[in-house]
Amino acid sequence: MGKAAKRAITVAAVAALAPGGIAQEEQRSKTADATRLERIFRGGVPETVADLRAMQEHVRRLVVKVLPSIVALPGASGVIVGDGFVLSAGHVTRSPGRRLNIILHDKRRIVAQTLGVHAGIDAGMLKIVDKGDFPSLERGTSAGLRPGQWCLAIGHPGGNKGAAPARLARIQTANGRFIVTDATIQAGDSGGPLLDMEGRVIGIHSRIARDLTENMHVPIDAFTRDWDRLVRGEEPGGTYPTRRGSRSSRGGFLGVRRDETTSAARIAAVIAGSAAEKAALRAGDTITSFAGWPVQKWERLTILIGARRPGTKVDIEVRRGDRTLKLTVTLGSQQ
Amino acid sequence: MRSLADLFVVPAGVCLLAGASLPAQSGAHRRSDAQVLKTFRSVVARARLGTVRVTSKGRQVALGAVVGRGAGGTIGHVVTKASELGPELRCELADGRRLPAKLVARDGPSDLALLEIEAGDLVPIPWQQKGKAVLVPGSWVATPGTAPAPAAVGIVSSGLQRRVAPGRAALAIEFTDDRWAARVAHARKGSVAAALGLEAGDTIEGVDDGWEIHSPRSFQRFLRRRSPGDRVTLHVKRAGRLLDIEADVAADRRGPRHSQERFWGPLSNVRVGFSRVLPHDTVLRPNQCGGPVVGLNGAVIGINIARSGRVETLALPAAVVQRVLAELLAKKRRKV
Repeated sequence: MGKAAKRAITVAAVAALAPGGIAQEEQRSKTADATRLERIFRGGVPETVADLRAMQEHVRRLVVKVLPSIVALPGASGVIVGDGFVLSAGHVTRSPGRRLNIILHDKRRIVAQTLGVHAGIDAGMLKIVDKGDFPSLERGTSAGLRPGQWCLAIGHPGGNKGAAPARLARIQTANGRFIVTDATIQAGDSGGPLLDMEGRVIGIHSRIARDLTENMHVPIDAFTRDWDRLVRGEEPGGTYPTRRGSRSSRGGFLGVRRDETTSAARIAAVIAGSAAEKAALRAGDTITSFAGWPVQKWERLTILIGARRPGTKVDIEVRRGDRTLKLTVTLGSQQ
Repeated sequence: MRSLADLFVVPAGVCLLAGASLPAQSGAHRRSDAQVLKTFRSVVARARLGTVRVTSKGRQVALGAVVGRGAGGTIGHVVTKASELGPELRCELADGRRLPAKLVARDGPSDLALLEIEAGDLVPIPWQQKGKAVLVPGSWVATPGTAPAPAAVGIVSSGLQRRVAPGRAALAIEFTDDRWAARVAHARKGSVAAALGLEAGDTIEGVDDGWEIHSPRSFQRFLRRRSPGDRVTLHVKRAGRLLDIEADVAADRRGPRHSQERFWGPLSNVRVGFSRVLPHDTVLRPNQCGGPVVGLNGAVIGINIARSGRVETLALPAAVVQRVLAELLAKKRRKV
């Protein structure tokens, strides 16, 4: 925190502690209003339009205050909580040591490295790699959350496109493993923060049920409890399953690994016992034609393979060194 | 229950079990709990007098907003959401009257329609003048129905947005359940397939120059790379012969398909492609769109035009509605 900011806070504190004599009456009614608002936010219901107006003023200011700390991860969200740490969902960061691009609220792009995850609870963390000062939010506590308490959900439901919409909601239930709110969240919000009405992070968006009022968030205390282990890159709650092969598992399967150094369909390795091995494909081969269709890119190949039933016989053309071979493969299926 | 990241797929059954173990919820702690809605009664008091329930064959299809009176003072004008309307339209007013309504004009891009009802004593909705100040994120919004309490409440979630995406490219051809061939299921009268000259049993095997089609999915994947208005050539196999059929790609205003769409609740059929919208987090049913949405001061800041996703309802801002309304009235006059 900068010196100027510290001074400003000190001044504000003094002002609050020593109300001027003339303003004392006004001060008292303001305090009463503030207490009333606090009581609503803790689980009460607004009873008058004045209550609604007070809530609105508060929420408008809160949104402005917290937005700069909300970030977009690829297809997901996160929140900066100080010291360059970003909280997100475990299924977003998935495993320690990955580098992800982050887009800040002011559109700056930075890089962060994933730290530990807690797969059982869906907690994930990152550390910003770039140097600099980043706006951040305080971590609150999720221990005392009560049904009916008001909260604010923010995130990037549509991925990193555009503004991060705010949603005002109430806690439905809360326990040590998850918080349920009626804040509608969806894919892309994953990793975004659930905030209390002071703007402290009390949860991280995780998953949903079909009912629009069943939105689940990782309680912030789950992060706090395992903080040091997560920072060290440990996985206290087990690991996430790998994501590869989800497309081809439904269709045919060739059994080759991609050579990532080229966009062409060049094979880096042939999986033992696979259709590719049976057809005598080798590492270094480039597939140039599949079932009569030209193949310029790897992605094209995966689509053509995945679109065929396991067991289909397919003619392929392969460039091996300076020779072109014509082979026939019988597609297998992925275990 | 599903994890939220796009690519992360959890077997739905496993997660739904977790959902079933949640304690049964009463509505008492929800944001739209009856107590909270009751507090909004005075907020929607004026606007609800100008709110109507629009029914088709007796079933509610939309809400509507009284926007003025027609010539002679015996006709009332109502705007509503065009794409949800059907035959035998009626408007049910806040005072309980149910009057037959006539669709007199509609506007494609905004999906607004103008209805006429025979009543000279309607109360128009109070428009918000110069609305920007009340549209900041975090502001309360309430959607009046015809009852004293609003149908639902929410907050403005991210301020005015420009969204020009015209919708997804689409050719509404229905295919058979065969996952391994794009085989036309039927070409009923009036369907897109029939209009193109397709017949049931035809198989689309390729498109344009050399794009292989081997499944309904790969056809959709091809369309994703085209824009509404494009012309494409379909290579169709019929009884062993290949035909080429030209087709114009239409716009599908349901928006891009989403892997988790079935978790989003009921959505409007036309829900993308509006040029300027105000997103808010009110949860509405599709048949609660078409009516006014008010700020805390009770003035109408826009018309709810679509339930467009799990997290948002879109409102057309008052300024846009008023501009379209002027066009609709002009259209109507030309017709008469």
